[in-house]
Amino acid sequence: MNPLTIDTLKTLASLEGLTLTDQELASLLPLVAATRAMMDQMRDVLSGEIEPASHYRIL
Amino acid sequence: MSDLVWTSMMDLARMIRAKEVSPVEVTQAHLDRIATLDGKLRAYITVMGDAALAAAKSAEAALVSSTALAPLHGVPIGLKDLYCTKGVKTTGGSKVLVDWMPEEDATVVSRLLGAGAIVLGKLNMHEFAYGPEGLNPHYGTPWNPWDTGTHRICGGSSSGSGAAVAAGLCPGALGSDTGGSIRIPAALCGISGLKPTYGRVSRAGVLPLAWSLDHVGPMCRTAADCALMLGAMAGYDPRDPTSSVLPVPDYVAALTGVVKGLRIGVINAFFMDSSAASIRGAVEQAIKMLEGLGASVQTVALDQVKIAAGASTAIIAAEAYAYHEQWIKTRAQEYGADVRERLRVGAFVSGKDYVNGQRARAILRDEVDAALTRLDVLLCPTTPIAAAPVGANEVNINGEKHGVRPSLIRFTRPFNTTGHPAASIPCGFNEEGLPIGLHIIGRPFDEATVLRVADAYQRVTDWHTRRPPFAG
Repeated sequence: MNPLTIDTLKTLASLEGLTLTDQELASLLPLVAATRAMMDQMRDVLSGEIEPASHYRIL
Repeated sequence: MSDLVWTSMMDLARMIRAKEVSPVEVTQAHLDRIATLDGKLRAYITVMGDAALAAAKSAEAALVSSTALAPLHGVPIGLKDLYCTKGVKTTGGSKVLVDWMPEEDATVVSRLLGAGAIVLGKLNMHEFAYGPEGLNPHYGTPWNPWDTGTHRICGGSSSGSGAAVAAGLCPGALGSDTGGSIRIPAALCGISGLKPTYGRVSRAGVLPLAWSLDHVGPMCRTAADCALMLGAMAGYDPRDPTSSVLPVPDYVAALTGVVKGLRIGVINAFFMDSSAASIRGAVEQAIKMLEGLGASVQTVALDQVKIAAGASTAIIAAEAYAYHEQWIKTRAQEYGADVRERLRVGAFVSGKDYVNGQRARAILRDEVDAALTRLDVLLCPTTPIAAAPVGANEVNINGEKHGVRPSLIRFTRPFNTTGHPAASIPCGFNEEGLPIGLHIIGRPFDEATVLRVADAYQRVTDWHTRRPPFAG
C-alpha cells in the first residue's frame, strides 16, 4: 500500500466535502495512518467465503 | 454522612417496601451528597433535584395507597447523559447538544421509571461516548474517587456513572458500552458493571456512537444490583429492530451463590501476559477463589483476538462518522479536539474497510462461541492498567511503554465486536491503592450465569464494599 501523504489526505477530504486546514491535515495524518495499519491486520485472516456479521444474531 | 448513600439498591428497595426508610429520605441523602462532593467530582452534568424530590414524594404516597410496588420503587439512579429524557436536556457530553431537550424518553429510561426508579440527574461522559478515558473538556473531566491528590481518569466513556456510583452519589446508573465504556470505568472506579448481549436491552432513544456495537447496561456497586436493574431494563422493544424477542429471565433469582461445577476458561497470552503484574496477580487470586468454590478452571486461547482492533476501529469510525457527518462539517469547532479528530478519521475509512470489519467480526464471534461450547464463562482482567493521571498518554506495563487509550480498550472491545455479555467486578487494588477489575464473559443471552459468577465471588470477598478516600 502506498504511504499516505498530506496531499492524498487533502484530496480524499475534498472528495468527502471536508474542509481542513494544512495544520488539521498534518495532525490527522498519523491517526489515519495508524487506523489503516490496524485495519490491514484483518487482511490475512479474511478469506473469500466469510460473510459480514452486522449484528450478533437477533433472536 | 448518611449510610443510605452506601446502601445497595436491593437493600434500599427492601427497606422502602418495608417502610423502614422513606424514598424522600433516600433521595435527599443522595442530593445532599451530590451538593457536597460534585463540585470537585464532576460526575453530573445536570442534577434534577426538584424533579427527583417530587418523584420521591409521589413514591412515598404510593407506599400508603398501593400494595403492589415495582422492583425499584423509590430507588434513585443516575443516567449517562446520552439517554434521551423528555423535557430534560440531553447533551451527549457535548456543546453540540448543549440545549437539546428530547421530546420523549429512551425506552430504557421509561422502563426504569416504570419500575419505580427515581432519576437524580444526567451523568458526565466522554463527549459523544467516543473515548475510553472519560475526559470531557466542556463539563469538566470527572475525578477518580480513589485518589484525592492526583486527578486520575475514571475510564470511559461512562466516567460520570463510574465516579458517581463509586463515591455514593447514586447507588446505580446507566452506562453504555461500544468498546468497553461500561466495563472500563467499572474497573477503574472499583464498581460492578455489565454489558449485556447485543440485543438484550433496547437502544431506542440512546444517542449512538456506533449502532452495531452500542450496548446499554447497568453500573452499580454489586453484581446483585446489576441483576436487579437489568431485569427492569431488558426485553424486546418495537422501537429497536435489533432488540431480541427472547424472554427475560429472573436475573436476581439466578444468583444462587453456587459456582460448583461451572467450567471457567482463563484467557491467556494476549490478555494475562500483557497486563501489569499487580493486575495479573489480582486476577489470578480471583480465579483461585472461584476454583476454591468448586468451579473447574482451564486456560483458553483466543488467537483471532488480534484482529479485534482493526475490526472495531473500522466499524466505529465509519458508523460514528455517518452519524456526525453534518455536524462535523458545519460545527467542528464545537467538538473537543480529541473527539473532533477521531470523528474526522472516519471520513477516510472506505466501504471495503467497513465490510471487512464486519467480516472479521464473524470470525471473532465464531471463535468465542466455540470456546463457550465447552466452557461456561471466560475470565481475564478488564483492563491491563489501573487509572492513569488525566493527561498521561503513555503508561509503563512491565517495563514497556504503551499508549493509555489502546491499553484501556484492549481487553474489552473484542466482546463488543462479538456481542457476548461481559461484566467487570472489583477484584483488588494495585500498589497505588487503585482498583482492579475482573472481566467475566458469557454465552449470548446468558447474563444470568455471568451475574451468578460475579455475585458468588462478591459473597466471599469484600472488594466491592470498600469506600474510596474521596468519599470521606
